[in-house]
Amino acid sequence: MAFRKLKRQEEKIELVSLIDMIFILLVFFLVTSYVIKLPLQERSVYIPTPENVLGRAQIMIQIIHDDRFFWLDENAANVVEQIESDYGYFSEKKLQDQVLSALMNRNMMDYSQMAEKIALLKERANADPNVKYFVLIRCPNEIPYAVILEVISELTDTRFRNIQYGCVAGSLRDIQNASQITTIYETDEQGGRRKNIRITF
Amino acid sequence: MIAMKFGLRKIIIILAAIFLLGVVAREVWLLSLPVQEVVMPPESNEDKMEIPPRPGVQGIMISGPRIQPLYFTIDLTRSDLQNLNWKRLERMDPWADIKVKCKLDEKGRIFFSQEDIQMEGHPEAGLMIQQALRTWRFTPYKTGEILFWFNMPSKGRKLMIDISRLNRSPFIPEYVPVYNGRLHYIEDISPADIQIGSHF
Repeated sequence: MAFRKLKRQEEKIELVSLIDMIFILLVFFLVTSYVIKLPLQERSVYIPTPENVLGRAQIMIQIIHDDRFFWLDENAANVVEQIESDYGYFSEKKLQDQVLSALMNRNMMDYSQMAEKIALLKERANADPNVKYFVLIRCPNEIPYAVILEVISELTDTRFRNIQYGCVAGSLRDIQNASQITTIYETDEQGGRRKNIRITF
Repeated sequence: MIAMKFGLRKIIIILAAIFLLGVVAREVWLLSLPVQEVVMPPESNEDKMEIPPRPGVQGIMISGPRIQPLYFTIDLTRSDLQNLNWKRLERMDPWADIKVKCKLDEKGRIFFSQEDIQMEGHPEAGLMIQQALRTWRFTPYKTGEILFWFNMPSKGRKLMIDISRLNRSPFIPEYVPVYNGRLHYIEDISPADIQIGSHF
């Protein structure tokens, strides 16, 4: 019985499929290598958590609601000192109320006014890379996170990245109920004397 | 044509194999590295990012304006000051030993009487020093007594200025720092020969 001889079919690699597969693998490896690098970026981006010490800053922004802010900067020290000098005969509580009322009158603002202040701050920061600013952002729990992000995005857009910020939870009521608001004279890191404001909760 | 097509296919397959092997090798190498040793691309400056300070919640300290220090010094902005030339004094009397105890008022003016001067045996140099000293004016940040001791023969202590009895002017707030600046108006004297301190 004669059998037909089996012809072995020649094996061929399909070029189109090969190229498809290579591209799929390329994309896969690119993605996985990004995943490998991700922890490195996380290592670099340090997210500072609040600590139970006195919060030091050049500027404090207290968010009250999405279009109301309380801004304290170095100019506030002069206001507090002036009131302490003018109304030094008041009782401690009355003096503090006076200080608070003056600060509130001068430093409450809406978003556009705050953006103007931030723009001025950024101008100063962009003019000198050696000057570092730290902005403390206080935000009540009920405010949407987007409001803080808006403030942060305004702050961080600087040439030398010399405006840093830290966020903590807190409301205006904490400041209103502070046990003490006073001026304090301290020596800074460069050895210069500074007139600071201290708010003790 | 067929041979060329076959050759091209072979080349593509070889290149693809090399590429795949390369990618796999790279991934294996990256995974085997400890986290600290994996280098970020050079164009990324993430690693240079400064760690911001942690915000505190116990209270708030807002940095205020820098307080400009005041300098207690000879007020060289005044035109009526008369300077002393040390070389001239030395030529005039190389053995002069003269002490002048001066009073400074709140405007920085110098006062002294004849009883405040010790210049025995050195009248010429003493007179010259007195004349110059009477014109000196200081910035008005300190008041009290200041003692000038001109000791020509000394080595390293030719001019001593005792400022231990000077006090800050009462109208300067306590928080404002007052530093000492130039306390004399004498030319041609080496800074190494001047000693400023107390109780000589």
